[in-house]
Amino acid sequence: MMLWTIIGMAFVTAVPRVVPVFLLEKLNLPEWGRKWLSAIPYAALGALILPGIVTVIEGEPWIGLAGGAAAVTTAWLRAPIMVTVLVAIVVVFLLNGF
Amino acid sequence: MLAAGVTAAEIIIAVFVLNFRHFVMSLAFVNQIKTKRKSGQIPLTLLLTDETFAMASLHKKESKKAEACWFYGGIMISAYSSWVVGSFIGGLLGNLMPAALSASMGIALYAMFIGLLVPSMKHSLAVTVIAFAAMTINSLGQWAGLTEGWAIVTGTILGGAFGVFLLPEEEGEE
Repeated sequence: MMLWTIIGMAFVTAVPRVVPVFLLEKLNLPEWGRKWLSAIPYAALGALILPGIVTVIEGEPWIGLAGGAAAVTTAWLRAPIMVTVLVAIVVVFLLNGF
Repeated sequence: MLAAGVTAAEIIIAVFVLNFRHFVMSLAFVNQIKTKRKSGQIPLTLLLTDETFAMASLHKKESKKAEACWFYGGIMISAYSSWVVGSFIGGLLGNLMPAALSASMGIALYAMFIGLLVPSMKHSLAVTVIAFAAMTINSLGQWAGLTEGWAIVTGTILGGAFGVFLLPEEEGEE
């Protein structure tokens, strides 16, 4: 039972990732299709950030949002990603501590 | 979950739904490395995660080079090895680190996504609209009762659809 569950999870994890290789091999995408796919990275990042970020501290959604705002500001000022990440951690730590 | 009496089928379906967004990401990524051989594409799609997809798709220029698959493979293998090493160190140090600090680390992943997204938003209003559309659709979806997995998939696909109208012609060629 346990083993089959693990095999099943591995299967549903791997198959959706590999299928596009064979889908796009046959298909020649029109211009609008290619534009749609080139927008996916930005859309995916957006969807991964919100609303997930409000759950960083359980029951305190504004702390996650404040950390996000700090990250946006830092990134806007062209800081390297590591700096952005560290600033966000410090902001959340300070807000959560007090 | 098994111990809690959830059936195997329910667990597998939940994993499928949560993983389905990688189908959309993989479509976009394979399109980016379309000129490469399948022996390069297949291992890369299997290693694809949220984080490595974000990194790889924002390094589009490298996909034109001959060694592109090794470049993306390098990103993915370093991500996976840092996970293993990091989890091990985390397991060792977990009790030493104050709970308040480890809770604050939860923001790190989101801050990284923001750090990746903001530079592109600065250069392009289209990117900004696409990202905000996806955020809004995902948030509305989850508020309306969709599971997290389906809401992210819906937000990504519909948010991406804005790109059809907003992105300039040459963007599709890149």
